Amino acid sequence: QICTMSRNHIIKLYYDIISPYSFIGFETLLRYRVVWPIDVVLKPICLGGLFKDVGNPPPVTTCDAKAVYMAKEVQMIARHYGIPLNMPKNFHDYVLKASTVDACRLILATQKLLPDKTEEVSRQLFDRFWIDNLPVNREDDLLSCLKKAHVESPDKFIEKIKEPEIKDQLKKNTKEAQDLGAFGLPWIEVTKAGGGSEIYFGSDRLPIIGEFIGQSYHGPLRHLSLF
Amino acid sequence: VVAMSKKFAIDLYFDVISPYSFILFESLLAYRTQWPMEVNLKPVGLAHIFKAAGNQAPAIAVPGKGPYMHKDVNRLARYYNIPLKFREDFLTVITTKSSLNANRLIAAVKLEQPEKAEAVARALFRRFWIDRSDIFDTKDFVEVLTACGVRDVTRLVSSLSSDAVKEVMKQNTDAALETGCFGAPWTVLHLSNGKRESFFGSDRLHIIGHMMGQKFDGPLPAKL
Repeated sequence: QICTMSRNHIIKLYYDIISPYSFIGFETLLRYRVVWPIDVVLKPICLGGLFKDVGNPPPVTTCDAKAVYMAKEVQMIARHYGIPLNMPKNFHDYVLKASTVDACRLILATQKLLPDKTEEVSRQLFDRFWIDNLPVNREDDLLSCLKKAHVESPDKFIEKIKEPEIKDQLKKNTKEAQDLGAFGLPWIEVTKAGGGSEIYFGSDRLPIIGEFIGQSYHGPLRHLSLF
Repeated sequence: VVAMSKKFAIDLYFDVISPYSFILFESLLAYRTQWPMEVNLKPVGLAHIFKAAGNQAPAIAVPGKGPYMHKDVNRLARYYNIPLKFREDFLTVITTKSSLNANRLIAAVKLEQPEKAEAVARALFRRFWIDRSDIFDTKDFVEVLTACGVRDVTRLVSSLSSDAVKEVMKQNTDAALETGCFGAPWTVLHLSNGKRESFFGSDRLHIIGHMMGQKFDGPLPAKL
C-alpha cells in the first residue's frame, strides 16, 4: 500500500476578539481548511497593546469618516461571507473603555488546558460580542461562553487566566505579531510546506494567500458558514 | 432585437499617487466588457481629502505601514497582472512633491477632450508606477499628453491652475467627501433605487459586482 504524506501549509492567525475583521478572517480562514491543505494555528493577541507599541491609533478614533465607513463595511463584508455580524451601537465606547484582554487570556487558557476547544471558545467569544452584541470583559461573560462551548469545569479556566503564565503568553503572542511587522489585525503568516513564508494584513487577502500556496480562491464558501 | 439594459453609474474617485487607485482603475475598467456599468473618472487631490477628513497618508501616520504597503502592492501586481512597483524614494516623493497637477491634468483633458481622459489617466499611472518616473512638472505633462495624441498640448498644460479646472477638482473632492470619503480609491455605485453605496480601496470588486447582480471572477487582463 502506498501512503502519500503531504505536509500542510501552516497558517498562523493573530487575532483579538475586539477586531471585527479578525472575526471575519477567523471564520473564513477556518472554512478554507475544507478546500485547502492548510493547518491554522490560532494566536490571540492584545490589540490595544499592539496599537500602543507601534503607535497606531484604533481606526475608529482617527477620523469620523473612517468610523462611519467601518461600521457599514464590516457588516457588508460579513454578510458576503454569510456571517450575521452586527456592529455594537456603543463600539467606540467599548474600544476606549472596556477590554478584551481577559477574553484573549481565556483562549490561551483553553489552549493550555483543553487545546481542542481553542477554536470553539474563540468562536463563542466572537459570536457573543459581534452577533449578540454582549460584553465579553466580565467573568460571567466568559463563563457563559465556556458553557456554550461545552467546556467542563469552567471555573478552572477562569482561574487559569489570572496566572502569570497566561499573561506572559499573551504578551509573547503580541510581541510575535509585532516582530512580524503587525500594525493591526488580523495578521496572518503563511509558511509553505516546501518552505518560504509571507505575511498578510486584514481579511481581504485569501485570493493572494491562495496564489502563494498554489491553490484557487473559491469565493466566500457560504455553504460552509456555521450560521 | 436590441436589449436595452440600463447601466449602473459608478463614480471612481482616485489620485494617481495612490497605488491602490491604479489597481482599482485597471481592475474595474477591465470588467466593462462583462458588467453593465458606466465608470466616471473623478480625479481628486488626496492631500485635500486627507485634510478635510482629518486623515493622514498611512505610511506617514504609522511607519510600519510603509514597508507593508510596498510588499502588499508589489505582490498584488502579480495577482492583477499590472507590473507596478513602489519607487524606493516614495516616502520622499509624497512629503516633498504634489500630485495635484497630475490629477488636474486629467480633469483638464476631461473638460475639453473627454474621450482622451482615460488614456491620460492610464499614462500618468503607468509613468509613475511602472516606468517609475516623474509626473510633477510641465515637461512630464507635455510628454504624457503628446504620447496620448491629445490636441492643444501647450494650452491644456497651462490651464491646470485655471478656475475651470480648479472648480472640477473642487466638485470632485466635495462629492467624494459628501459620500464619506477619507482616502483613495473611493468608489460610489449608484443603484437603481436611487441609493448610493460607497467603497474604500481596491478589494471590494466582488461586492460591487454582487450589487449589480454580477460576479467577480478575479482579475481580467488589464488594458495595459
